[in-house]
Amino acid sequence: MMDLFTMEFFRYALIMSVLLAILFGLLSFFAIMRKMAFLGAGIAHTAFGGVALGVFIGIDPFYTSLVFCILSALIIGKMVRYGNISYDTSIGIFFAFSMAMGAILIAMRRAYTFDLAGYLFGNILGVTIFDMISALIVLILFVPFLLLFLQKILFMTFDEKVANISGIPVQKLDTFLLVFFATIIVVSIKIVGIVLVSALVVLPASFGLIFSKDFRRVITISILFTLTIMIGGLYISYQCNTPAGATIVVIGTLIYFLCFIANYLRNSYI
Amino acid sequence: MKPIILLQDVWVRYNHQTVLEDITLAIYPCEIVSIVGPNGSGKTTLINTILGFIEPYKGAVTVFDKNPSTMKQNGQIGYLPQSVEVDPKFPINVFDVVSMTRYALKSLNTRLTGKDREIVMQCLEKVEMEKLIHHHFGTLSGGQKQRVLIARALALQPKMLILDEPSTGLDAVAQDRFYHLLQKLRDKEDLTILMVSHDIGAVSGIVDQIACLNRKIHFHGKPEDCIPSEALERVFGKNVHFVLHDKNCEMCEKRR
Repeated sequence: MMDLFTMEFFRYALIMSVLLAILFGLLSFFAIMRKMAFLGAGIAHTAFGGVALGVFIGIDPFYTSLVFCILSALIIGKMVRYGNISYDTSIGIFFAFSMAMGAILIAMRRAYTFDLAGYLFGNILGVTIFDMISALIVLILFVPFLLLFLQKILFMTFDEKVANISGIPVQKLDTFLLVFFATIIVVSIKIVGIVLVSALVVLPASFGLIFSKDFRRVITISILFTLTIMIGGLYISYQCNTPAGATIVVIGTLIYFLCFIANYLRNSYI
Repeated sequence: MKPIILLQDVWVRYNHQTVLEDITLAIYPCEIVSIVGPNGSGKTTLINTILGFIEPYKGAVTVFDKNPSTMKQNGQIGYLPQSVEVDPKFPINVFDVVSMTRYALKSLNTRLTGKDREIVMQCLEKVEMEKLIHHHFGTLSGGQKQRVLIARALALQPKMLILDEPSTGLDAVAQDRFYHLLQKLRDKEDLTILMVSHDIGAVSGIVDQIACLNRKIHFHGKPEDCIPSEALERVFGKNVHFVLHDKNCEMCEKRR
């Protein structure tokens, strides 16, 4: 085990895992409780359009996908708020459009070969300093935002209309939350891929909700769960020579189901 | 006395259809006013117009002398939604639910002060829920949830409570206790209470004013005034028999 830490790529992957575990552990609770779980998958798919746009116009795809995803998240949010349609519907429309547009742009840029597998499953062992700094900046912005507004976001998550009437700036906080949602997904997608991003949005809080009916504990358990599956998944993937992102998802899902069934049996027979 | 809420010749339209027509209504301090009408009569639209979520296309609405759609909410109105709007699986206990409105009054997420906690506990005591502060909100009964949500609204220390179908999902005994609590809040806290209900019989014994709504207000007055049968027919339709529990109803008094 110790000789793993002598390898730079593994150390970077470990640091990135810790950063992402905190980010997704926090984000997952609000995504689940605000019924925005599908938004994770939606924005991750939308990023494809942003990446393709970057490739097409010759700009670093990270920046184009960041702008593209933030805009998409905001437009989806506004469509839900003002257009009287559900998150599922607006996300479904958006990510299909974005994937289709990405496919056209990639096809038009014939010389470029797109790494679809990398986009789907990421490469957590290919973390660069830039990736870590990006994730760290988002963490430095996101954690104080939540610490300052946690109770207000909680109120609007619990009961948006009453929060609005009680003086909570619901629309502003919702906009910030959507921007953070999109940013967290963009900084992690290259490393963990669409498949793992979707899992990291949904699994942590779902796991926390099995064990606690207190939101503080649910968030804490979410972070610990994400840390465990990411570090455990990394180690197992190294030992078994399996793709890291996919290993993390499989381990996380198996742990979730085991605990879900155990909890169900406990509630049924005790 | 100046009214807290004043609607003058208010018309509201959705998709080119008139939902509210020529509504004129004044609500004065320390009154319990109920807007009654069948499903789809425009009750919730009227509440949303008063709360500033809907702009009337004609007429004027003032709440505390201001236009509700432009006024910044500063805790003057406590609102109780229909309980079905709240996710029962939300991982939160009773104390945290009631604390929400105390946090809403703070600019940032500073901790609750001793005074905030005291106010939260007092509000829970008013609704007789102080023994269940650590209970998960989702596991409470319908009546208990209503009481906690009332306590949450009271923790804002508002001047007015607006209640949307507060008796939905409550059995007869719970309903009666709930209405008795509203009377107590009016008498001891000087609160003005506006509630919408589809059950004219149940609210008639406790309210000071009643407005029968079905797109337009067909009757507005005291419940003990004889509501004209044509007005009731226009609101609720024909072949409807009403049992009004007025202030002298012996059965109601015994149940309390």
